[in-house]
Amino acid sequence: MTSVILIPLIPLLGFLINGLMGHRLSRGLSQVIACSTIASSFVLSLIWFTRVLASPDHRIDLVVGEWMSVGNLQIPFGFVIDALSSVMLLVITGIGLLIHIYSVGYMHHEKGTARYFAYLNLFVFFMTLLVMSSSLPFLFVGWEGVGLCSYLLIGYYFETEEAPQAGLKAFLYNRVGDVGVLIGMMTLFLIFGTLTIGDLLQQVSQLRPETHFGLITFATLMLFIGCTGKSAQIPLYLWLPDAMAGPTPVSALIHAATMVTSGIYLICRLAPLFVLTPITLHLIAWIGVATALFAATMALFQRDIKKVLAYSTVSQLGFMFLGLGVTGFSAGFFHVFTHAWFKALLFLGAGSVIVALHHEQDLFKMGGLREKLPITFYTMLIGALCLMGFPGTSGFASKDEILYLTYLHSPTLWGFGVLAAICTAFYTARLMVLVFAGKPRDLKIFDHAHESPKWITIPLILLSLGALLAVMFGWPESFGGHNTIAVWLHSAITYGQTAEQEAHTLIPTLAWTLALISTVLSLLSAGIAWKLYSKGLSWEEGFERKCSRTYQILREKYFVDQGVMALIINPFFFLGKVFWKLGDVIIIDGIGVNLPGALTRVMGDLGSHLQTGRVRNYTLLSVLGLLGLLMLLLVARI
Amino acid sequence: MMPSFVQSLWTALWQDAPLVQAPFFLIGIASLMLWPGDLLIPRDQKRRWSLFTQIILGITLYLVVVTPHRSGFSNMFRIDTMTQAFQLICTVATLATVVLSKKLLDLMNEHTVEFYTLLLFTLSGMLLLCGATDLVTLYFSIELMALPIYVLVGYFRDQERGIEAGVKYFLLGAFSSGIMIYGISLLYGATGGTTTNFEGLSTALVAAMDARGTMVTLGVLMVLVGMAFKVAVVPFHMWTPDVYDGAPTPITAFMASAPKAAAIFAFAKVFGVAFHNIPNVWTFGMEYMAAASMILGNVAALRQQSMKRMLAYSSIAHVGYMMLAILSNDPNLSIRSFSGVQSLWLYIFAYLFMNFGAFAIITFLQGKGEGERIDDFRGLSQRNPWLAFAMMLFLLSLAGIPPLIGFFSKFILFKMALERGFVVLTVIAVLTSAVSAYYYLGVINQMYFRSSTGKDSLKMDRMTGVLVSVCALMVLLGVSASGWLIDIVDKIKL
Repeated sequence: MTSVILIPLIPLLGFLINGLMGHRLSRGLSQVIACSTIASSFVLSLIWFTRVLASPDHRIDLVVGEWMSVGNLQIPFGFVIDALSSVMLLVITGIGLLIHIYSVGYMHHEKGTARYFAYLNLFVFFMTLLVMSSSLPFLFVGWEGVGLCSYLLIGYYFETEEAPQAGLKAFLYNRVGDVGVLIGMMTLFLIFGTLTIGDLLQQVSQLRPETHFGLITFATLMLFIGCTGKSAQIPLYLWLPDAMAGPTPVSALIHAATMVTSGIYLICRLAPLFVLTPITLHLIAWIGVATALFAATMALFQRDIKKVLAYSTVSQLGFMFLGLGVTGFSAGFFHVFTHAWFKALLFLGAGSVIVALHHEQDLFKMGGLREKLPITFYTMLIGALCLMGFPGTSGFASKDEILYLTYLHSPTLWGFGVLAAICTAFYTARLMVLVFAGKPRDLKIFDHAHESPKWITIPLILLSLGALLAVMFGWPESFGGHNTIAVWLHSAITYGQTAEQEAHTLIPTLAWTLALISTVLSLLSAGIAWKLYSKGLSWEEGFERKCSRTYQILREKYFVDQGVMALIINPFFFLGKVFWKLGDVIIIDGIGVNLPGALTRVMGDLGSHLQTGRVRNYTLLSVLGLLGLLMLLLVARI
Repeated sequence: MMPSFVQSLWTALWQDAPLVQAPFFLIGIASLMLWPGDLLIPRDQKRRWSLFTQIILGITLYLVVVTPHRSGFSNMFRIDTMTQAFQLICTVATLATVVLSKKLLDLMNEHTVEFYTLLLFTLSGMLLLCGATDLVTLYFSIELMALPIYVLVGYFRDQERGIEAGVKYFLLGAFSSGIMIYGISLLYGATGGTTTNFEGLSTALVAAMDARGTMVTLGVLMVLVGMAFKVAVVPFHMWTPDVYDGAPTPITAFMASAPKAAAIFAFAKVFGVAFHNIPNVWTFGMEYMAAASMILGNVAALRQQSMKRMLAYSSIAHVGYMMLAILSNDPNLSIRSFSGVQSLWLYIFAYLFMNFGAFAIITFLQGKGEGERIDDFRGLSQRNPWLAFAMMLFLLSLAGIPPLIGFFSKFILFKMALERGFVVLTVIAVLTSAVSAYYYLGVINQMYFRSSTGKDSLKMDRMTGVLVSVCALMVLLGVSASGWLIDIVDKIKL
């Protein structure tokens, strides 16, 4: 039964081996260790997945021991394996394994890959810990840990100028969110007196909605702030595009498929709690749709292939939060699942293009690569179709389910969502056309291009199969399917409590109509993009000339980064300087530290000087001490 | 007439004999080791006594555990769970000392049976001291405990510093014993020559306070001074730095743990039971002594160059913290509301591991011809990362940094003192422990941020490795077991 502990522990072992002895191991050996640890975790995850399927209430709770017991705070060292966590485990270890294999090919020319693989293994350790943990503080350990690994991996190319900066930025934005999670956790402890997820949700199910309404709303809001940090939502999304400074497989694994979805995971995990707070849910829905639309427009005119995908990720995460906000928890989570496949696929495809072009990431210098990179093209095409929501693909199933639920909730929200979907189709088509279609724009780069090695193409093929097949698990009921995954997730999302979820009415005609509208509009916009860009860059250059202001705003991402710099960062630098000069140097160092330090030193010298080493002095002092005690007593009496 | 008296005396002694089975077993075995045991071991095989002593101490551990719980010898001696808990600490500390000494004695070629028998004799004194419930048994157990240590301090006869330390310790110890026995006789007189029993005194002294107040006051203060000498509280601490510095390092580790545990437990019993009803006489002075110990111990440690001297001063400070426990002792409360003696035990229990871990590393480095000066720790992290890491754990734990066990014990102690209303003292305690972080971190600074100049990497021997690892694990993981530890401590009742 306890083999479940091995799922995180084996990657940890891989981290220890590669981290401590990596420089002594041969390149091949360290790669074999890294891949095989993830492979064994994947096998174990599969075994546990089947076990959960077989278990009667689809949940296995394991308490291995006690982690901390202070007063009335009991934190068990426990795991919970249910539909949510086992699906996440499969995604983390399965896609993680493919990305590890891909990395062998991608990092072929790099030095010191042991460090890279060690961090990657460590990431899998923390991420599995995050999803398996049965208590919030323990989950928080994983939460912080993946943040750390993300920081380390973004800054992997530490010789460059922007990578360490980007790592730092990611870390700081995440810290802001983490404070929210901590406050949320403490508030929950205040209300319920426990931080074990099972106990917490059991109390929640017995709660009358109006009790503690304010406190619970506050707690969920704080938790959501944490989620906006980790899952790159407004206002804390700025770090994710910069995080593309890391190696591309890292972007695929951490910044598309797994870590950034942990915010959604957290909310699904605590769904019965969030259901109690309509205010927070509204906020989540609006933030989600705003992020989806906002980020999609920012992706429209990016020139860096990875930046397009990064903004696309932010936007898709927005869709997931939109789903959660309209209480479509399983729909939102299903989008996590499908998105993990096709976005990882797109990132890895982009990586393959980048490798083929010898680390050229500018879309404007690509073009016509279809013949040169056939495998990359066809696999990426599958990913692109999924992202656009082409009928029948997994992206269609999950995204249009979210949009349908949104419409039931509020048609306005739905309208914004469709707008975001239209933008999505546009930039996806633009990306595909600029890379693969048309004539090569830079012949020197084009001539040296070559299809990537098998290490890279095989994971691509497997991922595209996954992206295609993912749809089988969750064809929505509103489109006449069974939606096996949603039914199954339901048990995990309610956490076995009887609390009734908000029932969603099934109106197949409405669902089909809505899907038809959004799909037709999306395909239309994709077609327009294809038409405009298949002739080269002339249209975009023309647009830049004619509407230079709009273009500039979109290219520069609404100047948010510059605004943050001017309004928040620079004033803080200034304030910091003032405090440093006035507070630190004069008050703290001078009066606070050096003065007591000097005083203590003088006293210490005094103490040492009393230590003459002569017995007669010691005896004298003792007698004086006895007399002193008597004197004290007399003084006290009077 | 006469035979029946002898007979009843004999019966009574025989009945009470199981209470003292562990100390008497030790005395008997140690005597036999001296003669004829030593004759049987050839001169170049004396090191075998080490293993033998370890086995004896193992048996002693068992005997301590199985001792029945009751009073005996006309209420002069009592065994209860609390007593046993302190006896176990003393025995384990002695065992660790034997393990620690082996390497050093090998190196100096100084294995003799006397070293081990002296340790066993002093341990028997401690075991008796833990169980003493009468001023007379208290006094003679203290002497039995102290006399072998005077010799052990000067054990290396060719080292002048050790001899000097031994003589100094003996002179001051004798002086303090004189003061204490004088105090005891005054108290005995003040009660009208009726009792020296703790329980008896607690009521008798209240009555005597009215009639012969000065006599009682003087007596109590003299006992206080005598006990303060034994546990090294300011201003009766003067012997500590010199003796700790001069003694062989394993003996220093021993003195900082086992006799201290026994003596401070006796201290707590005398003042928590016998003088419990006349707190006005002693609490005031003790508060000042505790504060002075914390301040002087920590501040003087700042300027030390020698590791052993630094730890000596730090032990003075730690005793200052332990005084908080004695001051706020209330035998009727359980640890859930933080009673004094229980948190005292927890504190000493934690201190035992940090102390022995640190001293084991110093002994090991000394065995390599270095290690006594703080400078010698320079760059230890490069020479043996594990050793440096363990040393860092011990030092951080001594400084009371979470989540190590030292933090946990300190936290409970301070919390209890606060609940008893010793606000000023607790504030001083917290501030001085912040000061203490400075010198502990100084050593860590040397180990990690200074590079060693041209010294090779160090290889640990097995004994040191095991001892250091066990201590490090306890220090590191002790807090995870905190719930369990508190449950155990809660069962320990005075």
